[in-house]
Amino acid sequence: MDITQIVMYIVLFLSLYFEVFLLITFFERSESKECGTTTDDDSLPTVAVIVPCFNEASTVAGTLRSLLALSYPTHKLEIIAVNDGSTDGTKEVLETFAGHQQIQILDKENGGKHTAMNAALAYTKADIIGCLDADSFVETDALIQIIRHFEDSGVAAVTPSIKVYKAQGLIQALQKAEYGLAIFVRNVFARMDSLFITPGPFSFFRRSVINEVGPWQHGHSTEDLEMCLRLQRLHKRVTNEPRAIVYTKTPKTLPELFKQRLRWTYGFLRNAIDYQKLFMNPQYGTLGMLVLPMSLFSLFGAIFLFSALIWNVLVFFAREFIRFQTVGITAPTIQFDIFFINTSSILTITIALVVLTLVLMALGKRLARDAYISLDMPIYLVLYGFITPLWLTAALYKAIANTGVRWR
Amino acid sequence: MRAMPWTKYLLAFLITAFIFATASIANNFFNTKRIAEIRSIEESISIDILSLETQFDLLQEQSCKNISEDSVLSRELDTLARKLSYAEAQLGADNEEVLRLKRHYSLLEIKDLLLMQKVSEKCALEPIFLLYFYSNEKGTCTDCKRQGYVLTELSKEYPQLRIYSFDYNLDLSAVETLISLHDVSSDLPALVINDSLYTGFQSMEEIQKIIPELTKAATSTSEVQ
Repeated sequence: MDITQIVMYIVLFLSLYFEVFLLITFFERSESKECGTTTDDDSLPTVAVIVPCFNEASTVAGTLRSLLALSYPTHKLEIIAVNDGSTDGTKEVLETFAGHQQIQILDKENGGKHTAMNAALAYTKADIIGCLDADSFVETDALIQIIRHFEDSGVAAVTPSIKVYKAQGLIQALQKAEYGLAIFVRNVFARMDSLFITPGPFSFFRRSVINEVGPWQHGHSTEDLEMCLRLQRLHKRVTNEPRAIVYTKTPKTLPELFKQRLRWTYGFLRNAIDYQKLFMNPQYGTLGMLVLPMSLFSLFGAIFLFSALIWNVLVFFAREFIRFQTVGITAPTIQFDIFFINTSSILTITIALVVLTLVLMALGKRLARDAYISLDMPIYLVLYGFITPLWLTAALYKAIANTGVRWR
Repeated sequence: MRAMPWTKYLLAFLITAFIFATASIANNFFNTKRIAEIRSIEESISIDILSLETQFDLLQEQSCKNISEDSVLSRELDTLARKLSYAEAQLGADNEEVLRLKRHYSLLEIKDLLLMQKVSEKCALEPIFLLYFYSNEKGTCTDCKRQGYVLTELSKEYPQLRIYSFDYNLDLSAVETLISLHDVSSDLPALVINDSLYTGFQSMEEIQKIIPELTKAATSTSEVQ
């Protein structure tokens, strides 16, 4: 067995182990009880939803309308739209909502998402602070589903389930499946008290906790990741409500997707350095001993698997080229014989891993009240492995060189 | 300090290890089946060669009408070669069982060659014999792959060409004898065509030039068709 094979077995073993671990966690505890949908309960906390906007003229109106449609007592829900120095007419769109009782509009110079969040934080007195990116839309019961978790005084933050808004084309189909898997993963991470991202679309925080841990920071252009890691470092509980559904607009083209994922991965790597104390630290339980190390490892594992795949493809084409040079174009001998079916352990384990991934995706879809199976799942399995290493490699380089990344 | 769910860690490890073990056991099972299949083909060829030898002996003084070029088991030998080559790739060239089967295969080839030479002499047949010496050891034969492609194509194009491949480094005295009989050096690939030695890579055109009967036979066959 050569070194490549040994590394391949290690990557496969750890990936499979992680998926098995997630599945056990999912089945060991049943889902939390169904919540009520009372909207006039005086005991409900006051909530502020911050909508940071930078050049979101085309989508922000829809975002605000979906917030206005939320099933939550109007006198307890405040919507703060922050125009972060937009140059595309976002300000004008926001002004059309100026007369609305629930909506407050703040206007400031461009300073980044974290500064928009902090400007709104300074403005509001609400008990619970949330965020909704200006390209996202919520289902009417999403907020009430989330707020019930704050009845538990130990809960510091709650994350939702995020779905792709009107997926069209191959790139968005890929993301639809990926987001489905993320719904499962996020939910299971929450069950293990191991969430390390409070995503921009519709994550909520207890005000008193924000006061304690401090406001949003730049966090290497991933303020949602940094905030969650900060909460985890101080042993604050972050949970998930899979029935709180948020739809978000996702990149339509590969370059747009590349840019977004480069930022996410770069942010993860740089924050991993900043919060290295959490890694392999039993004080942080499964988060420290498994989830964070595996998230980091999966990055290198994906690059390795992709390199191995590319190498094998190159070897195949080189061989075929030599054959062509030697004997020209030849008719392939097509002959089915069960003898030649590949039964190697690596292939069998890879198939097991793929099947398990499909199961996790199906469970994620079920958690978010979708059909178990959809066409985007095989597309994801076939194509995702080929494109992920593009931004993983670029992010790794940028993180090592500490170059920083741009939002757009 | 958060609680560590050690039981779950262990359970996940056991399940993963079980999946790995199952994949490995399944692979071993199928490889054993493959070896058994190769062994069974070898035994079958062995019996067929013995039968043909016996038939040949019985017909010593008779006519050759019952023996033709096709009666020798070239197709079976070819299938065996492909399966053996696949098993070699799966289990590794150093695998003891693969080496044993390879030795047996080489012996069968030599038996087939000798018998066919006798049959040709007796029955005035004109098969063309090509002995191919190669090496799988890294760095010892850079052109063996290309030579293999050429010979595969030739065997497809000219079924009357009888190709016998031998691993130069195979630890088998019969192959060693064959090597010394034809003065084959370690400069590989080497071809022995109708008792003449050709060292180094030979292209399709070069081999066709060495064996003009090949193209003639192909032309006459196509004319008949």
